[in-house]
Amino acid sequence: MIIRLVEYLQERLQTVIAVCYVLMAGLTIWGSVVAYHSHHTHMFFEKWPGFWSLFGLVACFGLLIVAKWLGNCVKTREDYYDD
Amino acid sequence: MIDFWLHPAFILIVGALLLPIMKNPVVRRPFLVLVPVLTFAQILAVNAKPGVYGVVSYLNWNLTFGRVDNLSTIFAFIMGLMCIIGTVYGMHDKNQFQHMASWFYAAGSLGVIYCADYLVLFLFWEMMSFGSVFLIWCAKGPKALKAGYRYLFVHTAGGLFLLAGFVLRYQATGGDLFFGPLDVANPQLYTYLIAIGLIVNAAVPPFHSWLPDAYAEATFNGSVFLCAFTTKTAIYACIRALSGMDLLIPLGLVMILGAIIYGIMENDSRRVLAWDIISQVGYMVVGIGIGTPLAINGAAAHAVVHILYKSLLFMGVGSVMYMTGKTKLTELGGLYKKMPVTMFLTLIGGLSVSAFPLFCAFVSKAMIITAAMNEHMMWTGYLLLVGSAGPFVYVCLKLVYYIFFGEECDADTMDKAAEPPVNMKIAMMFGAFMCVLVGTYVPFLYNMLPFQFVEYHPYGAYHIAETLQILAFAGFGFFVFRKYLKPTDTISIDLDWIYRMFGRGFYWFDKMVVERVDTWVSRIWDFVLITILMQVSKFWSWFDWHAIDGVVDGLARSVRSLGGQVRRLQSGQIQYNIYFAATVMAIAIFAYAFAS
Amino acid sequence: MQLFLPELFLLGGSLVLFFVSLGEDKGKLAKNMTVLIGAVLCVLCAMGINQDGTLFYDAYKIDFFSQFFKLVIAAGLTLVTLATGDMKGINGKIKAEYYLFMVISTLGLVMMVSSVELLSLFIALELSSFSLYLMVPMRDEETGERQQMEAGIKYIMFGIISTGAMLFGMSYLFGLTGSTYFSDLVPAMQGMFHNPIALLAIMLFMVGFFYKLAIFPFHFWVPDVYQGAANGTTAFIASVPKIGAVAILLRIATLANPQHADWLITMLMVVAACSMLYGNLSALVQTDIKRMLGFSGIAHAGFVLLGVLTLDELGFARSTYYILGYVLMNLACFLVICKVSVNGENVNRDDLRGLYKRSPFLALVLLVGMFAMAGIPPFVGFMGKFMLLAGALQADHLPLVIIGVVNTAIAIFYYLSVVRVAFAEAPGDRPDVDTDATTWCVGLVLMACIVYLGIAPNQLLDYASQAMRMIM
Repeated sequence: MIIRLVEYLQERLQTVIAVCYVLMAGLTIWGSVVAYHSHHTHMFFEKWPGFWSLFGLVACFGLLIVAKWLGNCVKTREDYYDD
Repeated sequence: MIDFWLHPAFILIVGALLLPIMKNPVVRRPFLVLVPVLTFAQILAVNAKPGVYGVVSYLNWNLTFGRVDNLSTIFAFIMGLMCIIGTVYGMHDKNQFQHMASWFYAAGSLGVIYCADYLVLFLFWEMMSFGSVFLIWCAKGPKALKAGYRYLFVHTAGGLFLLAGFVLRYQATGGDLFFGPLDVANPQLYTYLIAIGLIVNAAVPPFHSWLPDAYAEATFNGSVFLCAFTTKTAIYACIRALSGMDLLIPLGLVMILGAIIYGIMENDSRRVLAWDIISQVGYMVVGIGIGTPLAINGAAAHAVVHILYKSLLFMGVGSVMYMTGKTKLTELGGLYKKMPVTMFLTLIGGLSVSAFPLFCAFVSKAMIITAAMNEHMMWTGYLLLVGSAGPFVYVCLKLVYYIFFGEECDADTMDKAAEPPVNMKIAMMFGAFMCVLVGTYVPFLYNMLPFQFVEYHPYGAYHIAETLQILAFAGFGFFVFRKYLKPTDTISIDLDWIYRMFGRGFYWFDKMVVERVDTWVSRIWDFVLITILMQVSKFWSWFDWHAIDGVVDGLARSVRSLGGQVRRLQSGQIQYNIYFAATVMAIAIFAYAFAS
Repeated sequence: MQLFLPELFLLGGSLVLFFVSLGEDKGKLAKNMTVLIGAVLCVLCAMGINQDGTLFYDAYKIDFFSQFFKLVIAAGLTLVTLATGDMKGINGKIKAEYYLFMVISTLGLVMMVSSVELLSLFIALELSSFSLYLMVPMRDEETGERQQMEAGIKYIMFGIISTGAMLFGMSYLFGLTGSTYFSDLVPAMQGMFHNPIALLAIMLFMVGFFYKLAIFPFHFWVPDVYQGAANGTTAFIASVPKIGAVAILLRIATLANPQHADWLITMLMVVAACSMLYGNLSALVQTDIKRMLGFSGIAHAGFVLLGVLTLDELGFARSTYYILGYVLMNLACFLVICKVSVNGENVNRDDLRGLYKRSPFLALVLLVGMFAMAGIPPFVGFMGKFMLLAGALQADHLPLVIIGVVNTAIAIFYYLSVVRVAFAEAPGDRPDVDTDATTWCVGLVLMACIVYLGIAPNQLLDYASQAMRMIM
């Protein structure tokens, strides 16, 4: 059953991606308008619409970029320690 | 102590000692289930009656084995539960010694959780170290062997710090062995020593490298045990002793973010999970550093939750490893066709670790973040939120994607892949069930938390929206970047480089210098002693032959040999000259003795 | 007569063994005789434990100190003979003679702990040592690969040197005080302890027993003798004589005046630290188990000194406790070695592979023995180390305590690596190991003692303290 579900989704990959985009947009709007409540916020910028979406994106990019950069420095061959 | 208090760890120890007798699988399998279940039942019974039990007067000390309070109950509960899951998961493993080691390990953890003084703490602390190192060694092979030694080295060193710390404290305080909150506002040398001893086990930098190093080398079921007990028991001990130690906040943040970055770079699936342990333990360490009731609640809750989902993930990856023998992401892929159930359960673990609403980490992680915000530690709070984007990216997406989806692995691995044995599946299903249960039925976890007066409600619309937005857009980021994130067949150098090289150097020193010195000194002794002995005996045999026999056998022979000696005397062979001189001296001394 | 009963019995026993040795192939009989002698000796010593008196013009004193150690030595002899089984590595033709020497050596030790006069002490020591010297090369040719000859020579040579040094020290003692009786020596030496010659005399006197106990720098015989001698011989050398050596070392230490003993203490500290470090570091790289145990024995001897150098009753009692514990753990390990070794050849670490499958019981004995040696609670090794370190800490020898603790940590590595091989490795094609009823009994007794003494050390410590009060 699980296999069939996965394959069903894989065959309609473009649709799935599109649905995801729609969901993300909907989520941002819902988060900034419906679920928004000023007494939960800590700092002024949390009041900006879509702040948490941007935050997630920037956080992810930041981590990935640092990892990529650091990877150039510390990644080494698999058998580095086996002499 | 009026009535007999049965320590739950005792059941495990007795069970472990009885296990070798159970050779027949028909007896052994029920026994393997029975012992952890009994232990868990005893934990529940013990937890029902808080108080101080098991006080033993030993030598000059009062040792307390059973302190049952709000903090120890929750940790003992989850450790007991974990012991059941872990044992069931590895039940079909024929290596009984491994079961023994893991039970001793779990017993050590329970002992630490219930104890109330440093001596008992140390006793069980070491029991954990020695139990766990055998779980690594049971994996056999040279890599596991070396990793085990490194693990042992780090934990022995950590144990020594702890020992030194509490002995100094014992002296400084005039005989106080009580294991409770340290005065972290006025730290002494012993405070730091104890702290180092504890945080080594919690894998706090710079003492963290042992964790990915060792957990990636253990057996498929060994690492399920390992991932649960050591760090979380250390977290328990840190909550006990170090609550409110400011230094822990930056250290925890370094753990969270550093471990995510290393996790993203990692190729070995179990190392990815190991890095995620460090990252998640970082949240707990930050919570301990903040030290408010909400933060401590958060740390305890996150420890419980973390044990559930991390063991589930390790079980999932362990199943893949058990069936295919592979752990590297570059060598895996497309396994959903062969292992759909494992994929599904691992995905539940992945969603849990990412703190999706309805999954367990959602209800715990936010407590720590809220506690930081409540204390107006804004930077800490936002960095914690940055960290919460990480697990979704590299555990849920990267790990699950590259093992179960992505490019299909080679045909050989694909052939071997299949659903794991039924006991492994049962353990995973139970783990997954617990993850969802804790995430959906909030009071289950919250009623166990140490500070009951603190109110916290995770399922607010704002919180859900905030979490979902962060996760969704972090996922989008991964999607955009996915080409650059393809796993590479590499390892990443970390601080373990230092002690790997130190160990190598030490071994070299030992082998090349100490042993050689030993050999050489022996040789010198040999040379001096044996040579002297041989020369002396040669001398006497010569004396016997040439002098005494000579006299007996006849003057002529004596004269002839004397002539020979005289000739040798001329030949300049120094050793004969010396014998000659010595003989003369000996005769002279005898003559003198007889004359006088 | 009654006072001298254990010694007389041993003498009679050795006479009987001598007659046994005249027959052909009486190894089995001789072994059983030895076990019987050991067991009866235990009973005799236990019965006479509270006796008191002197013999031979006051040169020979029977008190709780001597009787305590006699009992322990007797128990040691019995356990060694039982644990080593049928002495596979000894030439069959001379097995009876081998046991004869073992009994005579024990006689020497028994007499040694009662001697309170330098010359009788010396004679008793030599009686014990010469028998030991003879036992080393009695290994048979195939399993020993002729190492036993080299080992034997080495053992004698070092023995002679240290005996010489000891005699030199004794002559100084006599020269300083004009007496060879401990009863005269103790007050006289305490009075003149600021005199450097007195210090020299005591140090030289101690050398003889440093050698027996294998303390740096008089340990060089240890690895070769342990490796070269038959497994059973090594088990004996590594256990019973060390008890006697500690007894006399403690007696010598009473000569020192604690108020002026700074130099002596410093010397003992250096020697103890070097023993621990040297023994442990060398043991790390060994693969022959006996050789490893030899090096580890050096380290343990260093620990024993921790108690000696406090120069008080409690410290001495702790040293006694530790050496008893050491003998037990050592015998546990040798029990396994003797059983695993098929024909009496040396046992390598790899020979223990998968022992938990080949013989679960022996593997458990090994586990207990090794864990105890590594100083892991709740075994006797932990309690001993813990008390010695605590005592040294109370006496403000912090650097030494640090060295001791670090050494404990180092030691864990090689002990656990043996356990790892036995438990975490596959046996391969190595055969199963048979365990007979004797092995079970001895193993159970040893494990029970190791655990019991580790959990409840007080009783033994009290006895040891009581014994120490006799000589203080």
